[in-house]
Amino acid sequence: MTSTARRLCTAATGAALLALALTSCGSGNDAGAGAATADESNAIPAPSGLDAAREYRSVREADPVADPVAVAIPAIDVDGPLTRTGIDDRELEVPDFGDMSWFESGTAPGDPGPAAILGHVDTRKGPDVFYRLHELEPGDSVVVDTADGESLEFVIDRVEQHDKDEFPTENVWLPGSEPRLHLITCGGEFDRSAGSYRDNVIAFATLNSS
Amino acid sequence: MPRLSRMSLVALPAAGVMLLSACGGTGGTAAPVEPAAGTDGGGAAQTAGDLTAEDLRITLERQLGQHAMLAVEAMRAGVAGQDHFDAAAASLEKNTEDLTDSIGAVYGDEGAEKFNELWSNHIDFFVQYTTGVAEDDQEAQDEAIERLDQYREDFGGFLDGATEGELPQNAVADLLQDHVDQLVSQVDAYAAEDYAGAAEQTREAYAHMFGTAQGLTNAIVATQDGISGDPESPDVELRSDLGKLLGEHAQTAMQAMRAGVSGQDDFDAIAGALDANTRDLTGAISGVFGAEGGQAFMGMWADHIDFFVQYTVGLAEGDEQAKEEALQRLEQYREDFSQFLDGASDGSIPAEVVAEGLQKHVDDLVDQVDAFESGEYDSAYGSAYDAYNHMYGTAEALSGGIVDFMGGEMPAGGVETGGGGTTR
Repeated sequence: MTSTARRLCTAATGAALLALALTSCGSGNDAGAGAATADESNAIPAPSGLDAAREYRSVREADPVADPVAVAIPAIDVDGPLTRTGIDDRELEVPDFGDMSWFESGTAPGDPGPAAILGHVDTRKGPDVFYRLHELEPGDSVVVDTADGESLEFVIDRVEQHDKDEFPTENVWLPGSEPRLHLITCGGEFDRSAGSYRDNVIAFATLNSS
Repeated sequence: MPRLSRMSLVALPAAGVMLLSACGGTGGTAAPVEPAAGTDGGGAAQTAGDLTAEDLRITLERQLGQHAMLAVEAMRAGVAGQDHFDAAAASLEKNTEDLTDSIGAVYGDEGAEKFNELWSNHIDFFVQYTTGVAEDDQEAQDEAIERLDQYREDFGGFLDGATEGELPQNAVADLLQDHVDQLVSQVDAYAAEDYAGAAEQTREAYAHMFGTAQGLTNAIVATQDGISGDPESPDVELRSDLGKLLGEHAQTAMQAMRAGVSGQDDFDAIAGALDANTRDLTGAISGVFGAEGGQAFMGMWADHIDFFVQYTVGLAEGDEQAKEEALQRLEQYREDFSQFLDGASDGSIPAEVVAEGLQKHVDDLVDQVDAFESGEYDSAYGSAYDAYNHMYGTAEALSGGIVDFMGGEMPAGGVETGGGGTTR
């Protein structure tokens, strides 16, 4: 043992850590009492840490966030309930006009990984729910209310626009350990022959955990 | 008080050969099944010229995360006067050498030498603070904090200069303030027997290093020629996430096993941190295989943790039968878990790859607790060093398999979310 280690050990012996230190200082083996055999345990009281280890069972219940029911984006005056959308043969189901739809086949907002909310930029007649999505800026707030009454705040990191043929699939959908939220709508030029916008606008947000 | 670097050298002879023989190679490019020496030994990033941004980021994350964990373990052993302090300190010293090699790969010998001096100093100051806590010497604690404040300025200046201002001195100082606060808080809590508080601070201290590594990587990539690739691509992010979680799993599991076998009062708190890590890992896996798949994963993962704890209890009680039963259950888990991942991923995560990786995981964790219980602390910390680094090879294999699998699962192409009514 080095001189510093001895000093530390001596100090601990004289301080509030007396009980802990007695099992370790100078013994040459701080496994100490923990290494006692079953027979010896009759003579030496079992240490509480070993008792705790005997009783320990690893956690087996996940703690998922409740499903989202509403979203508010104050910076663009958006506030309303969420519907749900899914997937069909790897194609996202298109939400109804006027709906903001959570992609329920994916992650719930607040759980680890990418959650997504889809909305139309416009209808055939005029602006729709995500008409101003492209105006969002880093730092803007997105609040998702859940079915159990919790409000989760996400903060916009960036807004990107991509050709639909070059949709950043991995950026949007690849799993991860951090809760993320992606708001998706259309943008760019409208191809009248195809009846479709050429681009998608995606607002990327992360959970404000503070 | 002698410098930690010198002090730990006293403890090195027994472990030194093993640790040094594991050094070198390229941590970030390790083979997933049988990781290269660099992966298990925690070796540096590749030398300049063949360095990728991905490898640089993952290597720095792995090494800085390990620094936080080993610093915590050394400080706890120090404040509690435990005999494994020297081995923990030697392991921390080894980590410093690995980090120095990584810095040297980017900034050369001179930069590496300056880094090593500053880095070693800050570890010494943490040890001085720990000594102050152990001896209830407020003056010593205050002096250590003052030195850590000066270190924050000095190290901030070093990185500011090295990264040509990409990492401004004050930004580095702020990052380091969090690091100092977290390590100081955890040892204060530990000394006050607030083990849950200490465990919570430890989780934060570990996670904090990953943001630090990411910022450092970005600054290096922005200012150094010859480093290829994107350090923040989605597949790198996934690999980083899994490395962080799996590395924390291994290190926390080993802390729990040591606490259990030596009957320390902090077992419950460490086990709580292990549970929190299991929840986080389950969340990430649920994003791949869905809620049902995530729950199946969680059940098997929880089983294997319980088997390690059962082995630990058997070891503490000298119960050979209990140990053997635990090992048999771990063997069955290895088989079941490998088949689960293979099946769930449609073969993108091959069972044989998982099984081989798990064998090393089991061997390392069992070896380290066996050695710890025998008082062979250098050996215990050597196995623990390997076990932690091994998880980053596992993360690389797992993330690669997930990217392959998700390629056939994720929504394809863009979204039709417009009617055209606002176009002119």
